[in-house]
Amino acid sequence: MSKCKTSFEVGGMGHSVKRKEDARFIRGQGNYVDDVVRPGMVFMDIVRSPYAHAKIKSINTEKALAHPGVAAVITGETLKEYNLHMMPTLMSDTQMVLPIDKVCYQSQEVAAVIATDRYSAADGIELVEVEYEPLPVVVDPHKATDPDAPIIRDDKEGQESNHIWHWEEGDKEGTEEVFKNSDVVIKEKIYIPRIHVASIETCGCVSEFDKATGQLTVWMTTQAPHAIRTVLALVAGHVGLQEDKIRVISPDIGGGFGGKVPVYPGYVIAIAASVVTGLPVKWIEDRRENLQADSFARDYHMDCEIAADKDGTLNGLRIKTLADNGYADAAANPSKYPAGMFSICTGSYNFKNAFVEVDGVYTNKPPGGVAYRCSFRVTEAVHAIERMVDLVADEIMMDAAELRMKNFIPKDAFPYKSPTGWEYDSGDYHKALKLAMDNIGYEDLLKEQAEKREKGELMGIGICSFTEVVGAGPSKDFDILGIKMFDSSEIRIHPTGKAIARFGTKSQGQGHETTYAQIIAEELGIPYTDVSVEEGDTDTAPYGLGTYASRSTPTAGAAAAMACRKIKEKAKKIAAHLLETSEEDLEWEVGKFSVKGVPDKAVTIQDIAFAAYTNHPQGLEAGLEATHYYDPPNLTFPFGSYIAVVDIDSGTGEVSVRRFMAVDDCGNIINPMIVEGQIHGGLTQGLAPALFEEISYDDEGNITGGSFMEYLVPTAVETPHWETDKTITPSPHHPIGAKGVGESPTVGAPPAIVNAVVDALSHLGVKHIDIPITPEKVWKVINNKGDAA
Amino acid sequence: MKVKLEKTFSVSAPSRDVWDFMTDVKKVSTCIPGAQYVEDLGDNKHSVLLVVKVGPIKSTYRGEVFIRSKDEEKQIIEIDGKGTDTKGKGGANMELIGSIIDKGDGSTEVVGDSTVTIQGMLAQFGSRMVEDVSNQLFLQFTKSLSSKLEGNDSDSTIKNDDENSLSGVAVASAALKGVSGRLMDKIRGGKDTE
Repeated sequence: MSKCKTSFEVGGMGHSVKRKEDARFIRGQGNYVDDVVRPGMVFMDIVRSPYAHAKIKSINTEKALAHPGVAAVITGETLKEYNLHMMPTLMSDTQMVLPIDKVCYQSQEVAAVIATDRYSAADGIELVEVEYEPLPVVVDPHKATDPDAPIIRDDKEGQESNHIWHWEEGDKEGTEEVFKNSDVVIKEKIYIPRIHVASIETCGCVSEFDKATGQLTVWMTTQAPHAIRTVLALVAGHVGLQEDKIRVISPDIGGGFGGKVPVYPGYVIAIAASVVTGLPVKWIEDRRENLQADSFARDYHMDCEIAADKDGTLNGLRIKTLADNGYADAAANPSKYPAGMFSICTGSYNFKNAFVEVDGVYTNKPPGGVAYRCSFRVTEAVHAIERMVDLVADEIMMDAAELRMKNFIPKDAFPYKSPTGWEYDSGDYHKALKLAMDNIGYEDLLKEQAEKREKGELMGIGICSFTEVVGAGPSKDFDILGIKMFDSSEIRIHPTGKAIARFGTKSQGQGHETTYAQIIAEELGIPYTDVSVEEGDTDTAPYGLGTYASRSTPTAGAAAAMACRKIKEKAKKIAAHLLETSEEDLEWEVGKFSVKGVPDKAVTIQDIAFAAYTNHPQGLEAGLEATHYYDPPNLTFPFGSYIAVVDIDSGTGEVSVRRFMAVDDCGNIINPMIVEGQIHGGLTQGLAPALFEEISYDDEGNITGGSFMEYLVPTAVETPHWETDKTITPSPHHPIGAKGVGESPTVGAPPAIVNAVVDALSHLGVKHIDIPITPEKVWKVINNKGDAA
Repeated sequence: MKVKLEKTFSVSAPSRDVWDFMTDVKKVSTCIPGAQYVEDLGDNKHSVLLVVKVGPIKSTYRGEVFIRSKDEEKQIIEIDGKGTDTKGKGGANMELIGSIIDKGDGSTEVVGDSTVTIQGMLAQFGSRMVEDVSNQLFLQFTKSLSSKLEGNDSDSTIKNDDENSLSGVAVASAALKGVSGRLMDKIRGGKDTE
């Protein structure tokens, strides 16, 4: 979109208007869950397991209960009385709320203390005495299915090993054939370690149950309030919590990134505690609990193989993956996709065939597999393909950019059917990579690198040309626990021409209050400042599946446009009535209907809104509002090309990212400033796992990355200056031609950085280094002369 | 975390005396800072209590020491130790093989090979401190042991009170007798971390 249709004051699509929500955020006047204070509120803290796998022999609550301020101690036995000790995960697995007889990961919830103040709750958990008998642990997923491995989920009938599921996509035989007929076959083991979203705000809730009315209100850090309400009604219906009596409110959220999609035991215990006591119960995690017990992301062990011809033609791709799901499969993927959208792994390239398989296993680690700022395992897929393409380039000694250009799906091949079954909506991959190369001065960088190498200096250039798949999704394929993944918008135009719009999604910092208002401004010509946007309250917002996987613009954003179009239809009837003409004689330009050929004879949307309540035509309903539930016909496929330039200190092994050029294409852009902000944040969250972050475990299942001492989140010091640019290839099926964007940079940045590091060390024989690329790893590689092991 | 420890030290005392001392859990526990002998459980099992403080984490461990085998002739003893935090915050296990070697000059060399497995809070948050702690503990232990065996033990008994545990960083039973192996492996690059 080259030119804006609306004025800056109206603020439709393409305008970098300031974010409406920032007025309260920058004043410190946001309203987060921990800001919620209710009369008579009590506080909860949680006793957690020091063992990764152990029998619970006894829990002694006597001393804790004797502590002043402690009101109650809740154990698995307490919850069992209400049959609430177990709960379903979003992947139709089960997980403990509180254990009865054994714990399955370190930091697992064991008991909860309810006290009159936060300090007494903390003192109380110190006084709960738990006697454990340690059991053998399964830490390495490769050993999880060994015959002598202890069965972690012996509570599940028929679960005779730690294997959970097998999933595959693509043509196995066809791919074998392609491999046989290729000149070059390259194999590499790639591991994407366990990481954590580490959002600024940890998880928590305030649960309030009114014994008189039976009404439950839960203020909760959730990205999907409606789904949570339904799940609560399904798991707790038997104790009288029916859906009409449950109100879930997701107030301001301090970062979600997928980590606030699952239902954590703490929420359920707090809700149970408030139902039993009739008191409002507040539970807020501390940082260590957040890092150690909440759902992790990634943890994919990928055996990758790629087949190509000597001239650089990519033919086939085969990936066999082991997914470490921890103690329960508590990922948040659509039901039919246990490995998410991992089969997007053929990326931006025109492969002849591909086959991908994933096996999920249980280990003694926290459950999860959330989509950390990525549309369900796309980060893993993009990492695999972008590393493998570089390995081919290295093998046949072809420039990495040239190899990509040679194999990109051509612009005129869209809609493109991928070998693993996706239909890519639109793309122009050559253009994006060319722009990135021109912007960064690719040829000059190659020369500089050659000169530096002569002098013994380590410099590398890394490319990543990713294709994302976002906006789940079409109801024929996408659901979570059976609920279809549409999303919704309800718009009401007030008599004075101002509007309120409500959505089934939930912003966690993305700027929905601004961008949704801009979509409505674009469609109806009502200034974005006249549109209030509300989300997150299940009593008021229309039903939707929430915000994650870059789905808000593709689904709810589309719903807003469609609802506006319904409103415009009705507005036209009112306009015809006001102008005493027929609908056919009217034409629309931003914000008004006018009589064709008589531009002076016009009524504005504000005039029409007023008439809708004061002078509506007979036979037409009064009012001006519409609701739309948008079921997308397809996903959207944003893409981009990133180029990283790194310098490596050969003495310390430290990698510094000198330049990073990110060219993104997310289709039509609603607010360029917000998109750029999203890209900056996402790139930083891509730099993080590439160089710093990992939650690892020792052989006994002890977490060794469970605090910010060990889990290194990049700060402004480590973050390079991001250079961004864009191409615009609209989505043909989206009402406003937009695609999701929030996650592209998190997905695309890590392989660009790894490719640059490997490139810097390639003359030493280095082929691959797993993330995070710590100075220690690089130093070892340098000092072993290329032995990456 | 699992740690392998190999420690050797010399005592100016006849090997017979050292053997007798080292095979007596009650006596040995008087040399371990923070340790308190509770009772003989029979079948070569002994109950001990330990106060452990590593950095900000202070715990009381209830431990059991089991003398798995005692070879009088070769002067080799095998000991299993296990301790769990009385508040359920974690635990440690140890397998120790101790050899008493007569140096022939009236002195004796004590060689201890042990594997210690730590679970829980200590392993999570103490890993940076565990090496220092174990070395300190080991020094105190050998100092105390030497002075007892060498006959000048007037002020050598480690007091098992709270004060001592704070300064003495007594660690889980005989279990945490100097935890350093893996950490040092990592630093030296002996163990692949990928």
